[in-house]
Amino acid sequence: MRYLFKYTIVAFLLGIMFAAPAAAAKIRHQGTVFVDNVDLALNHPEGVACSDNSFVVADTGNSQVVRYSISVQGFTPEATFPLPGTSPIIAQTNAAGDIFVLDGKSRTIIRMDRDGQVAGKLEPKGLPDPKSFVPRSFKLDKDGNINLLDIFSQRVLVLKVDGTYLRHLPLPEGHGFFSDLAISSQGITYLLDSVAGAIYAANPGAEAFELLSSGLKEHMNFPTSIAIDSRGELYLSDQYGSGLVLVGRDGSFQGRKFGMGWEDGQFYYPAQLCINDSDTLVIADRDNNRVQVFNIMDE
Amino acid sequence: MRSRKLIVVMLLVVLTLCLFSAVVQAEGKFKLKPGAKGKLCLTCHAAFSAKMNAKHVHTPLAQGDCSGCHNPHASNHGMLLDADADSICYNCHDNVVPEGAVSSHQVAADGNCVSCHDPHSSDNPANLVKGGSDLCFDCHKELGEKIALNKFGHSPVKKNCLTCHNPHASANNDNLLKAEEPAVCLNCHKTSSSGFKLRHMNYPVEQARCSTCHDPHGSNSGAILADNVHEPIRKQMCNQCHNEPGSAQPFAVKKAGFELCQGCHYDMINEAFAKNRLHWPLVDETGCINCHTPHASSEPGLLRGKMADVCGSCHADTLARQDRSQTKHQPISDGECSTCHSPHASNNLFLQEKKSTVDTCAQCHDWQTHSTHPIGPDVIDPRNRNVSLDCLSCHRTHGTEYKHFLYYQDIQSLCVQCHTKYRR
Repeated sequence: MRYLFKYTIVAFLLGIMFAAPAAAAKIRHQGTVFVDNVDLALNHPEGVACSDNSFVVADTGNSQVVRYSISVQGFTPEATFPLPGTSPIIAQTNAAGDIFVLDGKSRTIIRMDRDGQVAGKLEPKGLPDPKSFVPRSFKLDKDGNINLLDIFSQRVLVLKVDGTYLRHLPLPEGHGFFSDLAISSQGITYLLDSVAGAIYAANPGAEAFELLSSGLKEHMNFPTSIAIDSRGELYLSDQYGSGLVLVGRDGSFQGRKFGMGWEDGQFYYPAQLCINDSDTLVIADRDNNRVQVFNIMDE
Repeated sequence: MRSRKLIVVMLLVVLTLCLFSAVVQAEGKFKLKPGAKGKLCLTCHAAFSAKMNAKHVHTPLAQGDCSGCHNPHASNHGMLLDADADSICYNCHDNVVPEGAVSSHQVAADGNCVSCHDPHSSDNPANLVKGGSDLCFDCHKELGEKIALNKFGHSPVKKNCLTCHNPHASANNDNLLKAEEPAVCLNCHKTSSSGFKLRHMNYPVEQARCSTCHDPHGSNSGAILADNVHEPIRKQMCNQCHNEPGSAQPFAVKKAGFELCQGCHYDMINEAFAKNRLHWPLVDETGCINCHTPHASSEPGLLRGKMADVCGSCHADTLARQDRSQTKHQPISDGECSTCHSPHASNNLFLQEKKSTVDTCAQCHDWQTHSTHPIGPDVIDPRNRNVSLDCLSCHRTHGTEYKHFLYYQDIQSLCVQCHTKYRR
């Protein structure tokens, strides 16, 4: 009887925990990086990729990639990897520390090892028709596969790291323009429509995307990047609105953070954002020529 | 016997009801003296006698029922109207804009009926304040001027807009059209003749939208092709892009997206691809025709519409900022986005034509006479050591909620962002 009573209380408390709407996260500024490891000022950085103890920056205007370590002392530039003649705009890293960047100029994905040695460009193999593709963005999933937003043939391509075709998912009809995608730890793929202010989602194994959230334009101008925190909440970088927009797992608008400006905690045309497993949020503050780092905490 | 009594009783009830309603109708809700309707009003409003002599008189007025629309004693609405001016017409004309209409005329949807109709009388049918298309051109001035100046006219347009358009709304079609394309065109144009087929290179254009090539309002090009014609169309070489006319899918294109256009426009596309920053829609599934029409356009550069409309179809937020702005930026007001931006690709941020913002602004603004404040790559922004001062340090080019595109409400608030010691 006593056990029954205890279990009932525990079940009740768990029920409250899960039924309660997730509180909007509190985001605290941790630091800002301005230079690479030779003190060269960042120049319109557009891409960032997070891992547990480091993040890499696609330093677009300087045609290079910079890796920073994360420690209690702050964020230290460790290494710089030049990519002359390119315009790196999206960055990703895998568990081995390999770096992948989308070159906006050649519209190809360049793969580098942890030491910055270029291992070549991603060449998809075994693509079904149509063979043509143009990557607008890409993200790595928990298996290390490349999920590529192909705006030319209107699909999300899932490729092995060596480019071998695994599967694809068609983009939904009647959209505006897709700028980015994100993959949750549960394998849910999210698509960001910058023009319509909408988010689509596809569960693992789904054959089509479904509209998760629309009408977000009311709260933002032109979002271009999407990332997911450990709770499954979505973070959008509102590039033209110079702010951060939070969207719940259910697609509901959760709030808008920060605004346009030049001080810490303000943005001027932010680009890619990323979040690591410790909920460190890194944002490429493009037109402020810097990268800002935040900590996401439950409010 | 019993049922006969019942019938008689029912007949009496019906007759009583008819009589009662006739009496009520005669007296009206204002219990006017017998025969006083309308005539009573005209004893004071004598000028209305002339209105009564017009060719077309609004039915309530013709019946002398001024109180159909006006309250003779008092009203909360102008002109002693019995309801709001923008809704009173709908009391009788309730089906003017059908529910769920695909397109509706703004004035009709707003209930601004008197823009086109005289509520009392007119010498024009339907009590219109003007006859024919002249009435339409009062608002659609630019179109009216274009139609008047066109070398090649479309005769129904010159006669009456209502040949093709519904004046109030279209339940099923865009642009207030009476029928969807091509049906609206095929009402007059027969497509079975060999001449017609020959002129259209045997493509089954009777299944296509005529207005992708022809300007239905007339143009300065023969066959009322829109003023700017894509070269393959002018040369009647449709099969340069489309499958052969006798094929299963004659209108299907031979390649997708920009790859189709690259066949001829390789210089332009290769030049764009060599730039650091590409306008991404150029390389999506739709490609060039996101912004351009492939056949003919009344806009230069075969744009799908006015430049601001084309750009605004994706960048509505940017144009809305200018709308909200207290100060307007002239190139945006003029719809000339390409004054500052290169629409295909650029090596510069925001697809700017010029490398620096100062150079972009200096195309129109002589900043050295505008301000003595130092700007340029060597002047570091005190707020951010990685940013130098330029025009965008103080102004947001598409507008802010404040004057002169400033980020802050007044000059003092702006200046103290950097000159912090003067903060109050």
